[in-house]
Amino acid sequence: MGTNRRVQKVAILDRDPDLAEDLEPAQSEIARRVAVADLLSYPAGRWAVGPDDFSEAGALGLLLVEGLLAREVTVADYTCAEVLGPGDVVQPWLRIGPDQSVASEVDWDVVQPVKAAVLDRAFALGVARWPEIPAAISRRLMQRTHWLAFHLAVCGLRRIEDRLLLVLWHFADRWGTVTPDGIRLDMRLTHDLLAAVTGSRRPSVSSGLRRLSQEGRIKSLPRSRWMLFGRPPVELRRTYARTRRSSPKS
Amino acid sequence: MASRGRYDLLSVLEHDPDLGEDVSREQLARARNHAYARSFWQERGRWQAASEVDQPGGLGLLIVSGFAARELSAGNYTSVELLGPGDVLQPWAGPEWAQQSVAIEISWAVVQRLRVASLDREFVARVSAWPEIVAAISRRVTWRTDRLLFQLALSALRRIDDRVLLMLWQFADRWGTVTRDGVMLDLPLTHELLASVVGGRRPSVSAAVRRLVDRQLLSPLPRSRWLLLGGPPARFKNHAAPE
Repeated sequence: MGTNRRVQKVAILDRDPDLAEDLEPAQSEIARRVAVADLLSYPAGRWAVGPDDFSEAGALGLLLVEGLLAREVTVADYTCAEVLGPGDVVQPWLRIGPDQSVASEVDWDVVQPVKAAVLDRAFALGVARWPEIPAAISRRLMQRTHWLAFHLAVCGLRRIEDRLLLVLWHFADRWGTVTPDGIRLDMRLTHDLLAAVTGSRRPSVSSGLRRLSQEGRIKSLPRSRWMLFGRPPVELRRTYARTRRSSPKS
Repeated sequence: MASRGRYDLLSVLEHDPDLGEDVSREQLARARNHAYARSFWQERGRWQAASEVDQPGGLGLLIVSGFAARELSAGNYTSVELLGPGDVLQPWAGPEWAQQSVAIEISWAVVQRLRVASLDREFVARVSAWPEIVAAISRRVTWRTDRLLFQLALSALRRIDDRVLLMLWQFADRWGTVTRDGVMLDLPLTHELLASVVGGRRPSVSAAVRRLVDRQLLSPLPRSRWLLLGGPPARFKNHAAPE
């Protein structure tokens, strides 16, 4: 993605109020006025982050406000992807170390046009009096480790249909919209991208999606969108409340 | 946590100087004086980390020494992430997605006696004048995502021998010691732990290890330690890396 333009300043806590959830209301109001960042927009396509695109020192990352981003890692002929969307924090200027023994390549792909707030050093200094804000941003990064570990576990499933279904339900939990017909995933999830996310080959993914459609579990919508029906496989679901009890929020 | 009441104070930038690498030279001594944290030890075994809920405003725990494993289970399938010195974790935190349709369990185990520094709210407030430190801590979490994605890519490799060997080389890059005989991994990597990390079954991993030993790419050491010989297979090797 070669071009970006500085669209406007954005009040971060207005766009993403959860980042202030640990602040007292009075402090939250002050913080809301201070926590302002530049908002950049990027069109769909490859995103090549140049060394001078961002000033890394002191920067907390980019907060995705809109759109969909895929980070792909290739080892030998195998590419896996992490799908990132609104609420995620990324640090695209970081590279897997050049001194790693095993070769791997990282690519970024803007799947749907992205708007991202730049949480740079100036932003970090501005909100430094409220440690809850950098902590909340750091927690977003920590959440990504949960999602990736989840995808890693999903890759252990033998049946491609199960892998696909679990990943689609995971996306539905994060970004789905409940409609009278089912849960709609209004994000561009191509067969290629789903293959990279589930650690599978594209042809197997296409077959798996076909079978899930025939079983009435999913429906393909135009422009690589999806509708989910029913619920996840029974052996893999439980109530949200139980999870919250066993894993208290930090 | 048994040792919660017995804290030592620890200078974070002395134990982990890379966290101060972006702080200006003029500021570094001052930052070092402010960047101290409480540290504690955790013994080997299951880690009931959920009872250690941090107060809001904290960044997590920084591993100073030792190793921990985080297991995440979805249904009957488990992924394991191995964490060691330099990693930042929040063992009390679970997934926070707004609704959770799929069952997920997270558990922690201390693989080798652990010393961690608590990067709590007080720590963050003390270092607030140097955003570079908080940014460097955030970077550590991003690196965890990098390594998990690498692990994800490895899990797609067909040959279990490749998965085991490449995973060991990744560990060697982080925690290995170069010796005259090879790169030594001085952490307890049992066959079972290796199997969990590479997404294989224990018997397959044991067979793979035997083959790697026969091919003189690996040598077992006492107490589940390993010596890596030669380098990664040529087709996976990063030829830009220093020898």
